[in-house]
Amino acid sequence: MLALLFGSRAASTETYKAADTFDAVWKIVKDGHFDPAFDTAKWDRLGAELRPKAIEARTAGEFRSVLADLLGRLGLSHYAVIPSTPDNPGDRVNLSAQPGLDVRLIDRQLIVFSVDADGGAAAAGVHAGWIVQAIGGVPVTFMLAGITEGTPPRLAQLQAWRFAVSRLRGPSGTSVEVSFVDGAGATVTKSIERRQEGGQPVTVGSLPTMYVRVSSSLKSTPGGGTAGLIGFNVWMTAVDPEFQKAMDRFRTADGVVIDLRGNPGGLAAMIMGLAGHFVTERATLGVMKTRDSEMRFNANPRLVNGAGDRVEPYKGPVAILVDGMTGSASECFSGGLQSLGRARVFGQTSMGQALPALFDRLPNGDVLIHAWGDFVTGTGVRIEGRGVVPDEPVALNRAELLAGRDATLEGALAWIDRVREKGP
Amino acid sequence: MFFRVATMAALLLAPLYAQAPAKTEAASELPDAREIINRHVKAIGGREAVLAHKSMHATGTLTAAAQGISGPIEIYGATNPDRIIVKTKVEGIGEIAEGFDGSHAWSVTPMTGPMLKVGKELTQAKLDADFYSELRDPAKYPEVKTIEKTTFDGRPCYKVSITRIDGVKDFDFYDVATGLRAGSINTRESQFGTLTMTNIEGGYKKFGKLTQATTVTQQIMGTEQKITLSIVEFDNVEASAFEPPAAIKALIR
Repeated sequence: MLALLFGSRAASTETYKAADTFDAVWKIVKDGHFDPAFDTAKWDRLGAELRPKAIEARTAGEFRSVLADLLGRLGLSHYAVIPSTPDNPGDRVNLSAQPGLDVRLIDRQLIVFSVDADGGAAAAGVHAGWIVQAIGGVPVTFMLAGITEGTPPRLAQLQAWRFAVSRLRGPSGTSVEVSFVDGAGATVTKSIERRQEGGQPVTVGSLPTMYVRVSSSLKSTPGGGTAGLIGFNVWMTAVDPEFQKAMDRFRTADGVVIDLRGNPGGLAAMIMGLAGHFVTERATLGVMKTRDSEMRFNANPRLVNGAGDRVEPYKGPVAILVDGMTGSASECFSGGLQSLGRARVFGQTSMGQALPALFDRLPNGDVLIHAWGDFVTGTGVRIEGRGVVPDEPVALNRAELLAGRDATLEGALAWIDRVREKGP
Repeated sequence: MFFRVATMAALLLAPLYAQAPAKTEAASELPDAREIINRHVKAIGGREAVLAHKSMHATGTLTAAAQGISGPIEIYGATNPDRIIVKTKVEGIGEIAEGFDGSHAWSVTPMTGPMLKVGKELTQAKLDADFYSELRDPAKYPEVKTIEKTTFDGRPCYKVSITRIDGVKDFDFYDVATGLRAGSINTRESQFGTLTMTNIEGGYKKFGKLTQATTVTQQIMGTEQKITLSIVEFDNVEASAFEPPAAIKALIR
């Protein structure tokens, strides 16, 4: 998931150990590429071509650009470098705080998709549905020009999101100036305070600290039923106890809705535990295939709750909400339960970046994210490069965002009503 | 004992294993597999020294250096009946445990939740808990055969196939120079399907009358983790140490 944010960045320091680091990246990919058909001879030639450029790089930023070129030629997700230092001496180092808004690309416009109630954007009066025109003085049109006609929507979405987030984030307590077109069509510029990300801080190994947030609430369906809504922002084990508590509250609900919009993944093995709340027998969500072996992601029926009591897994209808920023483990989970016929997926096609990955510390201190295997669902559907295709597509619509509507959630709740009407 | 512990521990954190390349050399005369195993048993202190102990408690660390992951690991083992429990705690992930209490084999991780093993997984876990596994008792390992003299972990080793009563076929590698086991290749059923792992053993040290490997480097599908034991104690383990956690007890009920 971190590759999403840092994948396009490069960095700088006098001690970036270019030769050793380049060789390490090149070898890790060569030795560990999951595809049996991986062209190692071509990789050798590429290494020979780019290694001199890496060594000649004058800054760590230039060096990382060479690495990005090397990894980019694989044409796959989950090959990226997380910098340990800034690209250049004047670059922002600390991206831990954010203004509290998320964006999506809708009809080639960057639109505010959501606003955190406790964030700086909410305090500044920013609303969902506003059009972002510039961030920190950089016009959004500058970025959109880089997204060519014909770019698949899921890739365009990702590029737009990266552009925005890399500029919106910064050190806690600083501000970012963002220009918008508001709901009335007026141009407004807001100075938005960046605040430390909320949630439970979690650090796994060499990865940067992530902040885990889990939300849950009981919703009413249009037809008078009930549905438990659970959302979380990243797949870390801190999610599990909160998810368990939520499931205990929702066991008698008419349906459960899992909101994975904007969730870019995390610890892939977790999909086995969370999916287990919805299956009564061990069931294969998908298979990770490496060059010479494979690992099955089997849902483990959750027969005990957090309090240690025996429970039955939830047997009612399950809806999963996805969008273009649903990635990696979230896609494996959604696609896996979809392939089992155990969940119905609503929203927009997901990111299509679903390669389980490992992370390795490099000689220069950076961290290399590299794919460990390919993932196919239980019915053999490869998600990488395709995404999870919703059973019920719901297009994003600016007018609905301005009106405070959530058409994707509404679609899921209506479906739960239809299932209720049909009966068991 | 530690060998079997390693097999279980490997399944805790890194769910997949890749086979380490082993360079093969032609061998003219290969010793009998039982002779090789007995030489190992003698090197670690002898059969009597192994059988003298009824339980074991070890502590150390589990490390995945490339990923910057590490945490404490604690291992309990006992015989009559054979039991085992392995616990580790990794920052950012939480507590991970796996065990066999003489009847039930189980695992608990914050990623997958509590799980009882059944079928082949249970059968294999039972033999993986063999407290006297160093002896490769013919009653439990009825077929052993020297395959070749080869290079394993950079050392000349005898490769020995070990067929267990549960039908599992393992491969042991014994150091030609010292007689000590250098490692193994094991294939197991798991919640992730069938996995093959390579264990490289080393750091043999004496604890009481027994010499034990204190490091096991485990390789699984391109990932690597290392267990390093600092303390190994014998015959001071209470039976309660093998009680499964509450979530597993609830599954057993």
